[in-house]
Amino acid sequence: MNTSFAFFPAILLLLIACQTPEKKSTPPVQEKAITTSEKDTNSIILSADTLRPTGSLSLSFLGNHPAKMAIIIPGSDNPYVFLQDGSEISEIFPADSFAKVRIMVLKADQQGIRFINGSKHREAIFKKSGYYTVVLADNLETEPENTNSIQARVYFSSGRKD
Amino acid sequence: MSSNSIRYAVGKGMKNDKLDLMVIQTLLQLNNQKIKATGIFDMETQTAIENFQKDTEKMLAPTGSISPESTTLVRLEKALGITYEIADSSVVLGQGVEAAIKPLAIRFYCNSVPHHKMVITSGVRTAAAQAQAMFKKLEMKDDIIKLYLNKKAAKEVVDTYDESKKANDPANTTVNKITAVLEKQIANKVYISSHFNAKAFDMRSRDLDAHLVELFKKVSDGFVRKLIHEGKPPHLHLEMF
Repeated sequence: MNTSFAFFPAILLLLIACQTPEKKSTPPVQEKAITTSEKDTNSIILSADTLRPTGSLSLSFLGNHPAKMAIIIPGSDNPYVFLQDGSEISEIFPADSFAKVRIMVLKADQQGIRFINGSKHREAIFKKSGYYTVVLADNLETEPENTNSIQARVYFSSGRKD
Repeated sequence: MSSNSIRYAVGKGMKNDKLDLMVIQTLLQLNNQKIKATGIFDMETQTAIENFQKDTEKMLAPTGSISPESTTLVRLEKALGITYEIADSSVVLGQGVEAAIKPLAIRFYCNSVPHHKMVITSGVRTAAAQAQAMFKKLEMKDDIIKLYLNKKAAKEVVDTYDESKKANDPANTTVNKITAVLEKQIANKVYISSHFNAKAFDMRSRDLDAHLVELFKKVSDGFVRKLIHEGKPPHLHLEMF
């Protein structure tokens, strides 16, 4: 495993493993409390529709979730930013503990791994305004219909004209 | 269709295809012959082939050429390490596919500088596994008709699920009913997943630059029936002959 990606101190990370969303601790500023009536897209519940540059987004997983995670960014030919992909990419959690995560908080300055012309780059995910899709899948290197996957969408508002 | 790591013979008076020469010259290097991998046939290559045949194969009269089916090629390939990897234990390859991948992987490895290994990320999928996955999505109220390209085939699955739910069937009965629908579709050559085809598999492409993707397309000519460079998510979808 590339240990440099295992824990990145600048990333705000709220890990509440194996707990129900109701027992969640006080949410960060700008984050609404999670209730089941909110954006329940498949089995990811997002705490908000919109993410702002200084804000954060809670993701609550219902039940067991797929092992890998990426965010599809808008307006790019190369839109996959990987956050978790087995031992090769463990940007937010060590690979083996990711399966136990039930709630995670992504800050708007969260970074991920993007492959540009075959090279790995670590970069901020949320840059331009638009819809971002959070994808969790057992396999992020095959057609979506060929793997168990769940996804949810959030609008990022950069606060400037993109 | 090719089943060896070179398509045509290499040596004096032979076709000497550039991609084949890169394979042979790289293999000769790995077998301690002092030679450059240039893709061009020259005296150095001729001598290296003859030396290998004389010293390692103990040929009394070296032929100086290597054909795709020759024992010289088999012996040369023994010096190779791993040229492809399977991403994880969940990847199941169809019968005979791994044997077909091997020469292609050698070809890609020898032609890429620095040498690049193929990584297989997905293999064949059974109707039962697909039914389980579709059931899960339907339970989560996913719009699976939107997800699948073959809307008619997907609708048949949704209708079967709805009917089974109406009949209060337990989950495993519903999955079995969906499996039966998918098996019937497969028998009629309707593939809701391209991975029902036992010859299909996916390969990692995110670590390949544009040059390597083009090179892979070239080296796979004659080895694969279909090659699609997918972007969402990034991977190469291949179907062998």
